[in-house]
Amino acid sequence: MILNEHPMTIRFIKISLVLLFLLLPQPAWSKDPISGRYTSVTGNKVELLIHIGQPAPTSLIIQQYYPPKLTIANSSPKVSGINRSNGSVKWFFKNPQPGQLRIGLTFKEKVPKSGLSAVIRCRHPATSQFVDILVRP
Amino acid sequence: MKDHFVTGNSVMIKIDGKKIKELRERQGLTQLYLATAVQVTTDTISRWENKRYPSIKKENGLKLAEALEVQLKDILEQESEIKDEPFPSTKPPQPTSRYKFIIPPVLVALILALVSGYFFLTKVNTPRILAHRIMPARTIAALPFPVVVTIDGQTDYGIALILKETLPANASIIATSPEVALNTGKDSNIKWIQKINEKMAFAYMVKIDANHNTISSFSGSIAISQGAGEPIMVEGDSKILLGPHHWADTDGNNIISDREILTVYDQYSGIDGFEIDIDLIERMWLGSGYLWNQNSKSFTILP
Repeated sequence: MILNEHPMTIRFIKISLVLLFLLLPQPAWSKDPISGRYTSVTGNKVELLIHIGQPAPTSLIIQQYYPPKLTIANSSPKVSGINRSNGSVKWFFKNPQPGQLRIGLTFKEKVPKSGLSAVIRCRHPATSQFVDILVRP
Repeated sequence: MKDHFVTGNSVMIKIDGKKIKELRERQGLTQLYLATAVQVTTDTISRWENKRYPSIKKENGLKLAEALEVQLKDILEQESEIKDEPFPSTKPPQPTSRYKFIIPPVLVALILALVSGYFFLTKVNTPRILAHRIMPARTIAALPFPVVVTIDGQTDYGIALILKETLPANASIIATSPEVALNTGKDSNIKWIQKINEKMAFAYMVKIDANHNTISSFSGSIAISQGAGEPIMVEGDSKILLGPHHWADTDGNNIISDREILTVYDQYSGIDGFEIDIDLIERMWLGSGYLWNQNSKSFTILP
């Protein structure tokens, strides 16, 4: 009865509940164990920063796609394999450590942002489900 | 054995319940008739007949014998002797006879409580053990492949256990981790004796010499130091198909996919002293596919 007479109070309560739910800590397994973003795409250099959560997955694949007409001059760390026909490089990391992993690629040509993307793949350390994360600049 | 005893002012005798029933039935008498003759209830007659040697008042015994047309000594407990003693009074049920009725149920209840308590405590203390086998679904004959048995002992204290794995008859062990307690090489069993706290992985590399399209079966069990004594079966993967596909090629399409190499590393790595040929699998993964050459016993990795 009283609440019906105070619609602002009801709205306040509803918003508070939603905020409370959002602020509650989520269980560790509900989060992706891994995330990534491009920190730099300038000139002929591309830098991808991967954040590895704790516990870390047992292994990790990063596949970087680029326009096939480009040529890779250097990479850090060294790539596991290159597929020049479709323009992609792969890294396979065994026992990655929690924290940040920096991936750098240097091309012989200038890199257009539009042609770049990366896929991060791993098995979730808690659920063993496959995790695929697409990253774009 | 003493046939009668005095409780309070009553003389009690022990009668033979079975004999009472036989005599009554032989003469075609009902329990109601006897109850009326002795001046007790039919329940009392029934109780007397169903107990081996019930104790009753001597005066009731005399009435009972009369109703059955026999001597009192004929319905007494076999070893009993009769002594003529007065039974002047008919007091209410006496403490001794009351206790005789109460003590047996109390004893039974106590025994039941003890037995229940024992089983309850035993159950609580029995560790819960889960054993799960991971192995590939397919492999190439005579090439080693990994098998991992994970034991999840959900207890706060160490458990001594024996894990026994029974392999196909034509299987050969290449390596184990930890080292096996028993592998004579003559039979198809391997055994580990180990004390574990929580989780532990037992792994072995094995190869099977058999023809293509043969399905080989694995089985295993665990015996633990505590518990009911029944072996715990190892669950999980148990069969493997021999064919032209590498053991990491789960779907048998001659390609090692991202998911397959991630699964290989997730399931078969990180076990102390246990190595799988991850480099070969990585090379296959980087290629567009692979082929098994049966003649040269080698893989061709497609660019």
